[in-house]
Amino acid sequence: MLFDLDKKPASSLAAIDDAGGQLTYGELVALRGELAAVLPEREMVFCLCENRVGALAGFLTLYDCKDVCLLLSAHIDKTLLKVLEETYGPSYYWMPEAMAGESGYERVYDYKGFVLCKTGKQAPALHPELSMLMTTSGTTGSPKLVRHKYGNIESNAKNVATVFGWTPEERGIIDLPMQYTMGLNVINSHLYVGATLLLIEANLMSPQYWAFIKEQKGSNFTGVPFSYEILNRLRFWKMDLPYLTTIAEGGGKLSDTLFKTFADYAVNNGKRFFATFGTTETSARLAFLPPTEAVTHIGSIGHAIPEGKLILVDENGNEITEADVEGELRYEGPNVTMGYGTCEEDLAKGDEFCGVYATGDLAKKDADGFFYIVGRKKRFLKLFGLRVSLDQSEKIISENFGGMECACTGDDSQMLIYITQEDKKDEVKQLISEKTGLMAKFFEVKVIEAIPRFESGKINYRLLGNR
Amino acid sequence: MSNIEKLKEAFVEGLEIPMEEVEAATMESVDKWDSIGQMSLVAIIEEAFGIEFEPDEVMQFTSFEAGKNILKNHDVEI
Repeated sequence: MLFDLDKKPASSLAAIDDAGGQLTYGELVALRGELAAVLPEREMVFCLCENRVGALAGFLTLYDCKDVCLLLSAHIDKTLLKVLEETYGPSYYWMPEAMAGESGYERVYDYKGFVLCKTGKQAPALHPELSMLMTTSGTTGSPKLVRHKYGNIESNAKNVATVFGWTPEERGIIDLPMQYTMGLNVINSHLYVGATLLLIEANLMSPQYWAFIKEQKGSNFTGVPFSYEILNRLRFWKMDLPYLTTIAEGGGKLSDTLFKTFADYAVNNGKRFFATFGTTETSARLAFLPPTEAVTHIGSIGHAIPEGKLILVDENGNEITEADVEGELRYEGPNVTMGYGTCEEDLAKGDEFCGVYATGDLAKKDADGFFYIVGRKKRFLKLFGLRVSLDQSEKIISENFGGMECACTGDDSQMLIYITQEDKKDEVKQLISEKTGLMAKFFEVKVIEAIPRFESGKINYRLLGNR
Repeated sequence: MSNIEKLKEAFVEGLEIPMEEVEAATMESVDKWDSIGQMSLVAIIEEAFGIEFEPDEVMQFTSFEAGKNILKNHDVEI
C-alpha cells in the first residue's frame, strides 16, 4: 500500500485533528478495502479538503485505489469550482458532510464527516501514469493543474523523511492546507515513517492553535514565509514549547532578517531550523539547507534532496559551474511531475517534463555548493507568500473593463498596475484586491499615456521598470 | 491627536475600513481582519505607540475594544 501504510502498527495514530477527529493506520487500511468495493479504479475525484482526518483518509485511500484526485480547498470560490467542474468533469466528489447535502449528488460512502458522492458523469480519459492533480498555489483562480505521476509523492515522501531524519515518534504539526503541495509533503513525509500528524484548521494567531500543539506535544512545525512573519509578530521565541524540536520553512523566500532570526533562535534553543525549497511541479521539496549550515548561509535554499540533482543553466541552456554566477535553476529527480493540464484532453497526456523541471527562478551557487534564489524569470509575484500571476491579473483587469489596456509588474512587496485611463484608477485597485483576496495596499495603480510595446505587440516591461 | 484617535487611525489604515466602522470592528465582522489584516494592524499600533505586544495579546486582539485593553496593559492612557 502507499507509503507501506499497511505495515505500520495498526493501532498507531496516523493523524488527529483540532476538531477531535482521530485516525489510526489500521483504519486507513480498512477504509482502503471498503472504498475498493464501492468505487472502480480510474475515476476522477474532486477532493474538497479541510485539515481534517476525514479529508486525509479519503485522499490517501482514493490514491491507493488508483483513482485520480484533484485536491481543492473545501472553501474554494464557487465560481472557480464551477469552472473546474466544467473543465475537467469529475465523476466523483469526496467532500465535507455539509457540502454533500447541498450538492444533491448521490451519496456512495460516508466516513468521518466526509462523503463520497457520485456526479453521474463519466470520468474523462486519464493517462495510465496520472496519479493525482493539484492546482498551482495561485490566488488569481486559473484552472491550470499540475499532472502528477505514480512515484512522485512516494519518492518525495521518502527523500524528505530522510533529509529530516523523521522517526515514528514525530508529532508533525500541519496547519498548511493539505491541498497545498508543501502541506501535502509534510503529511506524506510523516506518514512514510509511521508518525502522527496534528491536522489544524485553527489560525496560527489564535489561542486555540497554540493550546492544541502544546497539549498534543507537536514536535515539528512547517511554515511558509507568511507563517514566519506571524511567528515573528507573535514573538514566538517568548513561548515555552519544550516538545518542539524542528522548525522548517518553504514555499517562498524568507527575508534575510527573518531567516537569521529563526536560525539564531534554533541554535540558541537546541532546535533545528530547516530552510527548504520546492514547487508544485516537483511534488514539493527539491532542496534543503542542513540546519548546521543555516547560521553561516543566511538566505540559502541549500542543495538538492537525495535522488535529485540541482544545476544552474545560462541563457543558452548550458550548465554553469563557476561559483556566484546567476542562472536559471533546473532540477532533475523522481519527484518531477509530468506537466500541466488546462483542459480535459490534457489528462490523457503522458510525461512532458521527463524528469527535468526548469523552475523559472534565477539563482546562484556559492563556493560551498549552496544555492541562493536571486530573482524570477516567470511572471508572477509572491505577495505575502501567495502566488499571484501577473498575466492572469492583466487578463482579469482587461476583461472587467471592456478590454482596457493594462500592464502588471512589481516585486514581492507590491504589484504595480499600469493603466491609461485616469478615471479607472480606484476601480482597478478595488477589483484586483477583491479578486486576489489581498489588501489594497499590495497594489499600486499608475496611470501612463500609453503601454509601451515591442513591434510584435508584446508589452515591453523593461521600459515600465525604468519609470 | 489623542490616543484613542491614534488607535482609530491605525484601524482605518491597517484594515482599510471607514472611520465610522472602527468602534464596532471585530475579527468576525470585518472581512479584511484576517491574519494579514491582523499583522498589519499590530505592526501599525506597535509603531504608533512605541510598544511591543506579548504573544497572548496578539492572539486575543480580536476587536477594537480588545485593542483598547491591550493599550491599557502597556500604560497607554485611553
